[in-house]
Amino acid sequence: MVAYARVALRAFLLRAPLVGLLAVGFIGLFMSTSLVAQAGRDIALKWDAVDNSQSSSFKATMTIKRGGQSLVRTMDIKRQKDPNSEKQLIVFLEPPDTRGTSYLTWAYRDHQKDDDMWVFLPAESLTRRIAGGARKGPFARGDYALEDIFRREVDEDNWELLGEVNLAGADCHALKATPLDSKATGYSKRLLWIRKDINLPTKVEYYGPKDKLLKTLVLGDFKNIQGIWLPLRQRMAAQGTDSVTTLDLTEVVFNQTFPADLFLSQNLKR
Amino acid sequence: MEKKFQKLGSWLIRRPWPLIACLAVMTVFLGWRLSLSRFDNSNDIWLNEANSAMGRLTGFRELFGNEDFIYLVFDGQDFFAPKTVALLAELAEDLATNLPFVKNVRWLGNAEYLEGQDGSLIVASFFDLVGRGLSRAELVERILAEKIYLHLFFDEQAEVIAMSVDFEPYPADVIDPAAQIRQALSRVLAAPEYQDLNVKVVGPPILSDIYNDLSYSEALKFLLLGLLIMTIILSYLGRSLKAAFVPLFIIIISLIWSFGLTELLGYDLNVFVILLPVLLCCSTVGVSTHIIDIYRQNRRLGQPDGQALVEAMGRSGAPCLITALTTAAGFLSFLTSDIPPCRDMGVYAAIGVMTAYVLSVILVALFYAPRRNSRSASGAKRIRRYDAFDGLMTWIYRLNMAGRRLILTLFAGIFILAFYGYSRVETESNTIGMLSPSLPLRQAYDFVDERIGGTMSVELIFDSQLAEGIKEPAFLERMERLRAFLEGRPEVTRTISVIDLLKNIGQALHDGDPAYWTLPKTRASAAQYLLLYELADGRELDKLISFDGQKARLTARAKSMDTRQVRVLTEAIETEVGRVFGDPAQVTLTGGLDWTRSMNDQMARGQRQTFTSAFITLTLIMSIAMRSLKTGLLSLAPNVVPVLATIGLAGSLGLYIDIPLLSFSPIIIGLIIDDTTHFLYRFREVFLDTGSYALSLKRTLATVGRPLLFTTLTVVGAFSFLLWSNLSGVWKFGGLGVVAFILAIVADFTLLPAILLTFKPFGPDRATEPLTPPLTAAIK
Repeated sequence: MVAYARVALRAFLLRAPLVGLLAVGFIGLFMSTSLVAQAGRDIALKWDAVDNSQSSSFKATMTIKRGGQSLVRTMDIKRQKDPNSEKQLIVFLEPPDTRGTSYLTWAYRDHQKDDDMWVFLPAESLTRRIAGGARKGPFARGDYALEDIFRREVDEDNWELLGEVNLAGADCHALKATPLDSKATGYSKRLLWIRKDINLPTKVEYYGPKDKLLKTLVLGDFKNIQGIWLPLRQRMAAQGTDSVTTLDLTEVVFNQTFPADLFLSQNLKR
Repeated sequence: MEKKFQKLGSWLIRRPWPLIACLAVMTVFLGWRLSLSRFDNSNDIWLNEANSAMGRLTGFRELFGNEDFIYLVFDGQDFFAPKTVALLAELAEDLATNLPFVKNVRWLGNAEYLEGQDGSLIVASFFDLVGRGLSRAELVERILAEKIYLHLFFDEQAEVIAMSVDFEPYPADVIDPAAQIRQALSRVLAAPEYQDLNVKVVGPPILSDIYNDLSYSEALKFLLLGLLIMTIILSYLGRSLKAAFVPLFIIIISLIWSFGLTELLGYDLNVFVILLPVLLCCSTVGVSTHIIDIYRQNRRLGQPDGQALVEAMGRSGAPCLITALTTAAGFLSFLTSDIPPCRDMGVYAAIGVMTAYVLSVILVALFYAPRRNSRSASGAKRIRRYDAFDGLMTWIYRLNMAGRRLILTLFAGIFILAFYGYSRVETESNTIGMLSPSLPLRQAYDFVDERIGGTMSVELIFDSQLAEGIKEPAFLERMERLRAFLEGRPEVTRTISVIDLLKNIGQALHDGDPAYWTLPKTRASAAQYLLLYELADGRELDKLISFDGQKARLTARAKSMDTRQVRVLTEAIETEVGRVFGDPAQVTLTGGLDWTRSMNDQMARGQRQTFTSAFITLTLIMSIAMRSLKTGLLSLAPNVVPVLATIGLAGSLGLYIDIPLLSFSPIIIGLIIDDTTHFLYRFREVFLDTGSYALSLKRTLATVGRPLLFTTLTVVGAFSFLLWSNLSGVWKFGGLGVVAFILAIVADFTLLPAILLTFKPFGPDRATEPLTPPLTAAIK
């Protein structure tokens, strides 16, 4: 027994430096991974905090160009933040046939809870709640997916800081966002380049299954309006196709006071 | 000419080693190029870019993307058991992840399901219903009630279900997307968990790749079988292993060179390549056998090796060159065809024939060149033993001398009958029908036809001629009338269009009330229905209407049809389009049925064009070779009659001309005219020497009759193997080829002598028949 203990002790002493080294390595690796993730999340939170307004209103012109044809859709968009949700009302102004069609969404901060959506069709004077859609399809036939126009909470993704790069003259953090619930999104990951000076992304790459690049969003024409920075122009290009969607924002106003019932589905008919 | 070939012969046998070295280097180089060859049997290759059907298809692709799809059909299981649902969902996920170029994978599990209930519009997938606590019977009932997916994702009893995979446009730099798709699909389906799924797979990429495999494997199989039968026949008939081995060696080298050169010139290979080895075998055997046979005749007359070879080269060089030229001209006549693969095949087959000729001349000279240490001194004359073939030649001679008028009358009758049969022949361009019923792919297609909606489709593109114009109620109403007309046709199993979608949205918006299964009443309603659908995560719109809302698509699925039925259906559609729309420019017909019809028209035209141009080219070559237009024209008779008679026979038996058979007439006439050339050349030579038609016939039969018979027997043997092909066009080619070669040799031994003895194209008889000329000893 004593002999056995002696052998065991000797073996331990012989291997201890190696075990220790490995342990330090693992801890170091774990800590550096955690730090990278923490740094990534911190940057994402800073980006999320840029728009500190309680409400906003703007006109968006979405121009979709595909195979020599183009389609223009103009929308009036109003947003309001509540402690538990972000409400958004999109009223289509163009094309004329769709004028007045309204799309109301309530995106909840609790990402376990399904968002609510309603559509009002003026031609039929009907409001319908939409249930069950996975939001992975295109928004208004453009290159944006429905999920791209919904608010996405920071903690719906794992964040990783990939490094620092200079993109078109701007110093940026390069981030990787990997969804926690891969079934809830059409993307396997997103790569974002976030400008250090204004904490806003200047480029986003969207990847699908097998990490195949699906589309690239480039943001520009950054303006400071009422103390809040935002891009007034976005360009989403689908990979491997000639399809490009641009989104131009005008008439941007922050912290506007909206009627209390503006974001209620019962009032869409008005 | 004879002297020049003799000079060439003696030059070749004096320099064997540098030549062998050059040939070896070239063979290695072209063998490497051969390994880089590509097969392309996709539908796109058959219509040229100027063809209006191709233009329509291109327009369709610009609007709606790649029309390729694969269709996985499952039967024999309880598809609504949770375990099977989960397995199919896993498979759909695997396909979406692992197949290249995938746009989406759709099946009942993820097919859009619109339901209106208590002021809500529910957008879900069918199998989301499983989680709602519905019983199996209720679930099946709900599915069967969903008409927009009937015959698309399930059959009328919901016992067979299907999964459809759509593809993005293939990148231009991808060499063989069909092969990549099929390989990836095989890997996915090979996973152990899917082994219990009874799955059948159809679709253009699968069909195209299996055609590629069949083209490759059958080309190889028929080459090996052809070589085997040739070895047996040539060694038996020639009573010499060397006489069999040399042509075989030449064939193999010729094939390496031909395919290597084809690749070097940038041509892709297609289904015609199955025939090429056999055709090159025929051409090579013709040339090499004639040179070897004359060489052996000379040896028997006591000439030394070298002299026998040089004289054989001299005597056979020119007629063999003419036969190579006529065969190549037959192939080159495909350049007049509208069908790009036919044109390509014409070029690479012509290259192959000329390569085979050059190699035959060089390699026969090298193989039969006298060895330095061999006995090359002249030997004693050896008279070959009189055998059954000599007996046959004697009988043919006597038949011609006694009954030439009867022969001419008989062939005139055959010609009239053949012409009648030829006028009845029909073309068939349904590529699925060309597959043997024993092939699993054909069985899969038959199953899909029988159980779930059919494998053919016609696409109608409706052009409102105004942006967003398809949303006009009047336009939608006209589309609806055409949809109703199509669904009333017995051939059409179902239609897919924005009409169904709009009606479905209308009903779902009104809490599922069937009274609202109607089209929207106003343009704004239609536009807003579609916008609602998009906002509700609907993803089918890009497949149904053009981006600018000017054009809409209607797909009519149909069971597999032959070309005649396709023509009836497409003409009925065109008539109805005229009736409903007035302006036919508003509706374009494209897709599989349109392709089949256009291809068929092109084939019928191509068949006539290539045969006519082959006829004209061969007449010119033969007239120049015989230095007489009259002889050139007369020489075509024993070749045109067998070809017409064979096609006429096919017409009378109800055999369609399909894609491989399209090349039949020019190829066969180009090959069988070789025998006529050898016969005529020798006949003219003897006549110029003796001035006697009877003696010329006797000597011609005694000298070239025997090799002609041998080459025909060999070629018939090689062609007969094509009867075992899995492609109907190829086995018909084999069977009809055998008939044509037999008829051709009969015509060369009877009709041609009868014509020569009657019309005397080389001038009047100048001498009477001598008693026993030296070379006619074999004929009594």
